[in-house]
Amino acid sequence: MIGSSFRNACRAWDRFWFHPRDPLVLGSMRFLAGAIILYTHAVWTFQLEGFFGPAQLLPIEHNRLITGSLFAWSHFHWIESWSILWTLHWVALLCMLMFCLGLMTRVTGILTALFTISYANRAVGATFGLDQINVLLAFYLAIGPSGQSLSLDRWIRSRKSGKSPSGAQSPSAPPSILANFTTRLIQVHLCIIYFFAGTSKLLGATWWNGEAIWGAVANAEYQTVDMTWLAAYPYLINLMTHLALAWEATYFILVWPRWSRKWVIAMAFAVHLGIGITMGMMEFGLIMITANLAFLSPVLLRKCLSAAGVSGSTDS
Amino acid sequence: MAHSGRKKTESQPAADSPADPLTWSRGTRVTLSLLAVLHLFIVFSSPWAMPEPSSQLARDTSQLTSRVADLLYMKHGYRFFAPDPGPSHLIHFEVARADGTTVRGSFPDRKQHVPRLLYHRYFMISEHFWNLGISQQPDRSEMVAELLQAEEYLRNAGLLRQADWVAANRPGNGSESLTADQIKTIADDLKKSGQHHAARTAIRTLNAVKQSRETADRHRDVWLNGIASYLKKKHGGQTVRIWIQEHMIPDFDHMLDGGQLNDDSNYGPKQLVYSEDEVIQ
Repeated sequence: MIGSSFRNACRAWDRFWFHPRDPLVLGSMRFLAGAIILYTHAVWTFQLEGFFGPAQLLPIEHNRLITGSLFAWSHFHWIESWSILWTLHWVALLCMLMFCLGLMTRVTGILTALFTISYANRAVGATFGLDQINVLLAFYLAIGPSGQSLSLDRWIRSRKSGKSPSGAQSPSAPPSILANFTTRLIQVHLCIIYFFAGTSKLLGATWWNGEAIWGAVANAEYQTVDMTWLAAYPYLINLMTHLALAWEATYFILVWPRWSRKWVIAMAFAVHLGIGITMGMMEFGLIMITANLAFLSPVLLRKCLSAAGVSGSTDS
Repeated sequence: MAHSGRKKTESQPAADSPADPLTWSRGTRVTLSLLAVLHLFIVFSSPWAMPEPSSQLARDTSQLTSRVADLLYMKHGYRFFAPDPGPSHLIHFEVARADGTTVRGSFPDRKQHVPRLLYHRYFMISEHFWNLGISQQPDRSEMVAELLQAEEYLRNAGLLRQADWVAANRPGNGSESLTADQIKTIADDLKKSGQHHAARTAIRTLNAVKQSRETADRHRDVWLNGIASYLKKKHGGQTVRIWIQEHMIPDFDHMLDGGQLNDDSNYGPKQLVYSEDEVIQ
């Protein structure tokens, strides 16, 4: 009895982690996350010396005090020359562009993950959720075969093998256990994030009295779309607050059953897009939506891409 | 791990990549399973422990995993808009030049800081700055309760001067930090009056208060000096003054009565935190 239960548990574990999966979803995530990571770091170009110089807005001594660990590494800790700072910045942007396009993805993926961690560790004090999710996705997409699909690597490989780069003869990327393993890591990591984001709100009075959403929309520094008309509809604010909390706190459970997954993911799209549009954090909204794609079925994505004119079957 | 390493199931499509066969050996799967569990445990342990309140178990576990979490930039609390969405905070500055002109500005500034993501970076600077000294401290409610008890014991024992020291050092009272000698005196006096448990908790709590306040003050000094030096260089100034200000969230009635988010009544007082090469404590 115990032996059979153990064997069943092992089989379920194997099915969860080590079942082959179409890498199409990872390829799509690489393209989208790569574009957001590239943009995030390109924006630093406007104030690179101000934020990353040794004695500027974020002094290195402050950086070391606040991280309190030598393991919170950054290549900026050793750069004192402006020319080296700028050269490495352009190298980082080039790597991120190549990663986004899926060119030499194995190498540029690892470099992108390292650069993303390095920038985030140095810019503590000016970082927020966007940087956390950028690193998360860069890290996992560097591990997984994210360059197997929707990538220049794939297109070049098809050309070399003599198959038409855009024709129907070009095979789709083969299912891969590593693609599944990586996707599972992203999914479980996301569940941990939503679990803590949701349960920590249970300590806040405004999440219980239903006014938390008002606190978000009536914050002038965040606001990009005026939603203060909601003041006339307190029940609506209450409802939005309770729904947002219920969704976030139960995400880690309800995202797994098929029947509830589509609603949980649809809500994720709505909430993150809403935050992006009304609170001026579009990059954060988009990176969270990209992370949620990990729960998308490759079959559904293939259909969507085909409908949009991108041949998912050929990955060209 | 019940499947044999070489066995293929019929439902699995054929692979054309020798680098990623359709099944991995049992050893590979066991190793990767252990690595995945360890990795996700590291990911879990950070938000489990911070920010406070958190259990001693969570804090000690997080301490064990923090180096790897730091290495991967995965040590985060993930407490977005928690426990409550709060007011925002602004840094204002004034740079005086040698020719008598002055430059005034704020972090963040929608007009100056474009694109929007850059604005958000400046916004985070003012928010992190405001939070210095608060997020660094252990559970404040627990500390306050312990110190109130120690203060009561000291007053009952007639040790009024020591009780006043404790009162002045409760989190939030904002007075000078106690010296190590003062903490030792308080603990000795509590012991003399038979309050051994109170002496132990008082000495632990007072040391924690002292350490967190000193750490926060150090952060604040270093950061303010950095910001001041940056502003001087950027604007060619001689002296700098920096203020911080809270921008509160108005209630429903304020907006229904025709008020605006940026009405003066929604702003707290400007607190001068840096002037003429000196941090204001």
